Amino acid sequence: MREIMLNLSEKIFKSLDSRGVSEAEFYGVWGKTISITVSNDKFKTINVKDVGEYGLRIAIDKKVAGIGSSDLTIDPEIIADRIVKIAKSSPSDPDWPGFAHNYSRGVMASIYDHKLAKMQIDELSEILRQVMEYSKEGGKKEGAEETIITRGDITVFIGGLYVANSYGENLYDELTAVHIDYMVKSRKEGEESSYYLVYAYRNLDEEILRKDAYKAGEYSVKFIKAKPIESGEYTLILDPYMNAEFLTSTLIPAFSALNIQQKRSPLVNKIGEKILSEDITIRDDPGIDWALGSRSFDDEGIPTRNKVLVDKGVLTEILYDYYTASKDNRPSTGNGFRRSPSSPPQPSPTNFVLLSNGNTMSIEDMIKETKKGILVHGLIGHWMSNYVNGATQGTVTHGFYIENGEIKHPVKGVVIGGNIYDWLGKDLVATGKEPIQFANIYTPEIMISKTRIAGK
Amino acid sequence: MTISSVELDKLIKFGEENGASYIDLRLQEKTYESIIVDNGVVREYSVDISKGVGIRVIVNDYEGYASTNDLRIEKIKEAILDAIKSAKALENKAYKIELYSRPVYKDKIISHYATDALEVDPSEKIDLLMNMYKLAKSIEGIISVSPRYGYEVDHRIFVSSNGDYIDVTTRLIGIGLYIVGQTEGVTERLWDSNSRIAGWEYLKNLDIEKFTLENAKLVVEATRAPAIKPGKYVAVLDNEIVGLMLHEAFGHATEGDIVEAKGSVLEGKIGKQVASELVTIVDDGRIDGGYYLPYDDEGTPKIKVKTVEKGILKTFLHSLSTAKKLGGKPTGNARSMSYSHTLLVRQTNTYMEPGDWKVEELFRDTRKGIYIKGKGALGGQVDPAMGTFTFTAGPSYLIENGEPTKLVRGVMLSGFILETLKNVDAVANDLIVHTNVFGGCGKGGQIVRVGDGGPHIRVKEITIGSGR
Repeated sequence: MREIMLNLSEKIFKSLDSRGVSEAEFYGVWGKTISITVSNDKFKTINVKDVGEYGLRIAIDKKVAGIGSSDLTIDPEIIADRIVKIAKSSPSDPDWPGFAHNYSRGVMASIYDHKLAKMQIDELSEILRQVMEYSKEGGKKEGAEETIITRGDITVFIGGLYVANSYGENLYDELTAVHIDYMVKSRKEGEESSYYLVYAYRNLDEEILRKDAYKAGEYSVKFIKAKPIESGEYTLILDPYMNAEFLTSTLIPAFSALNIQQKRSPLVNKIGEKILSEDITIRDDPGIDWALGSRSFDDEGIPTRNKVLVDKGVLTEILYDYYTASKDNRPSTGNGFRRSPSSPPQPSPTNFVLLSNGNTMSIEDMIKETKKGILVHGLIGHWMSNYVNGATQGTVTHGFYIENGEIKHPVKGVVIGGNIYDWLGKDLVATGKEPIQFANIYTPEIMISKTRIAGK
Repeated sequence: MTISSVELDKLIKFGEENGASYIDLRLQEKTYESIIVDNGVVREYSVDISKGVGIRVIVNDYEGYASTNDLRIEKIKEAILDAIKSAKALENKAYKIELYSRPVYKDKIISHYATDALEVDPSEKIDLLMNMYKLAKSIEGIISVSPRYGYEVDHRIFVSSNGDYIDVTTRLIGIGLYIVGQTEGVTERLWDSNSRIAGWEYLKNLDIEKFTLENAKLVVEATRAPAIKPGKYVAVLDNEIVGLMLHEAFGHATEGDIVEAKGSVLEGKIGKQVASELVTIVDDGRIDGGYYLPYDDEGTPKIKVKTVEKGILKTFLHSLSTAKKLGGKPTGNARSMSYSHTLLVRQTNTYMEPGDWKVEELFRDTRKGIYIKGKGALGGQVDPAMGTFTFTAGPSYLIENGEPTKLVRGVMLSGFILETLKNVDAVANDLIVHTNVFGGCGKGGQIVRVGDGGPHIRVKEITIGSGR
């Protein structure tokens, strides 16, 4: 596929050159996926996809435009005509620095699993069958009369990405991924509840997968007879996955130089200032083997590097792409990633890692230390939290009410609300010992002294 | 599209010759034009064109899918063989699929429009957004303004071995505004949009100034408003938020594939009371103001369906396979995000039928509560198995002595599928339905365009929380 993308980009650059356009950038992605879906405990369908698409961005006198297509056999003259027309109609961007150059690779990590790349449908379906069995065993161990996998899927991906510019540079990489996402439902004493298995890595680690699948089965039983609790102020314990969800919606976008420059982040002019508890350190780490965010170059061809964003509570660095970095007169941090092939890059993390350098506790000790609180294992609506001011909110679907150091009963249907800078700042009691992976976020559990709950 | 109907027929035959007892092809060509202005600078002007074909086959009662964006006939044949191979791989390991037998349909429809926005000079669109930026920026307290424009032309052709040929082109256009206000160190954001099945003429006739200034003033006002006190409230919901609530609180749990998977709390509840008798819920692909879907992605007409009538659950939403399996009738709700995705049962436009209360009467009758507004709402989510749903609202008003008074912000609502709609005790007579070119409904990794709405309603009790 690299050769196809390279030939296409060269032809398009040539067509653009004949129209007097010397600044252009090509970004192509391709992927083959196999997905098996599950419904009510059985396989339902298999979907095999083979799709490639690309984006082209050009600048004429600081007038910028983008076009995206999935037509790999397109006449370059057509695409050149269209994009030139759009660019010429756009107003100039006085801050336009040109496209990134000096392509190279930075931090290397394992992102291509040869075993996964060769996986056939039969092997994949057997893995899924076994994983489902582990979930059922987990449910049985917790006393479920019946445990089923209601719906979900397993997807294996092999693909590549190619970035090139009209200055004669290009880079190409291939990667793999596997994603399993399903809901487990259990019945016990005439009542039902459910839980989810989510596994997303660049390789298939069967040991982790088995453990997670078994846990999903166990947890599917634990929330039977869940009910709301009274409105009020409670101690809050977020498991690593739920903490990762809040980091994604409220904290991570605040580190984007674009949001900071456009005054959509509370971190404007905060470099060197304490923004979180001194027990918290945050890194952007593109070099974790098999992690979803690991990359050696970003979507602009700029090498990635390790960086500390928050050092013992103090903001030390933010995330830049080439455009925002040029605007602040500094080099990009290698964090320019795109929403779609034709979109401009925007600053985003590779792997966002929250580490504790203060009071750590096991989850058991956190529960013991709680007089009146809630431990949250499942949320909906958390993604509507507000990164502009740090306000956090979400509705609990899977939680436990804790009283005097003991779990009393499962909880659902209450809204938790607060602010991420308080939760990871003045209200932080402790963090768990080890960061746990969830997509491209690594974080331990966190214990927060107080949060507002809307319930009964 | 570059493939003739003769070639499509040959491809269908090719599938049958290679073992498919049923085969359908979904061709799609979609263009999405997006412009984002960020504080006076064009941050993005992009046009995305995606084109491809999705194949579904049934072989020995098992279902396989494949897709490709390489439209050479040989490549499509390879994809057909991939789909057949996939179906065969499921033999004795999966559900047997049976499709509801319905009449054959042939139709060609283009949604109504006057001016194709792709033909309008790009500078005109940029001028419109720049004007929005300047208007919003003129309001004191506004610190960040990002107006957006979106336009899509979605052309889908469906052909099947049963003889169906459905060709539908839909145009959807809209503007949006992402805006941040700040007063005395308090920052708040607001996102609002306005979309319609139409061409460029819709934006030409829209009161852009009113839309922009209303939102700019509202977000500044919201920075001065307190976060709502968490707890249970009597709530009056406006047209937008009713739609959002119905979609999340109820619509997803009626989707036949979730019911089939035993993932819905509504399983086994057909004929039972699930809402107040004032509540009638409709799913309709042709309602004015909503998204236009005359046929679903397996060629079935999207008929107007009352899932709930006077509080009684009447039917689930169906594809051909869930209708067959669950003993219902096809409702035209099999949809896919694109040619490369599998079919899921999805809502189209979900709304509540109007009642007989006048809106002002509804307020007068509510002495104390909250008026929940949809402007600035970000969306919602449901866990149909746990029965819990949630959604956010925009800046909203406390109701005191029968009228909306003080503004509050950061409103998040939560409830239970089988309880909340039973608490509806008044339904007004002002039906409005909206759709959105900037987003849609997400399920199983697929986002599809939907619409929702309803009249103003009152809910006797709902849980409200808030971040701050």
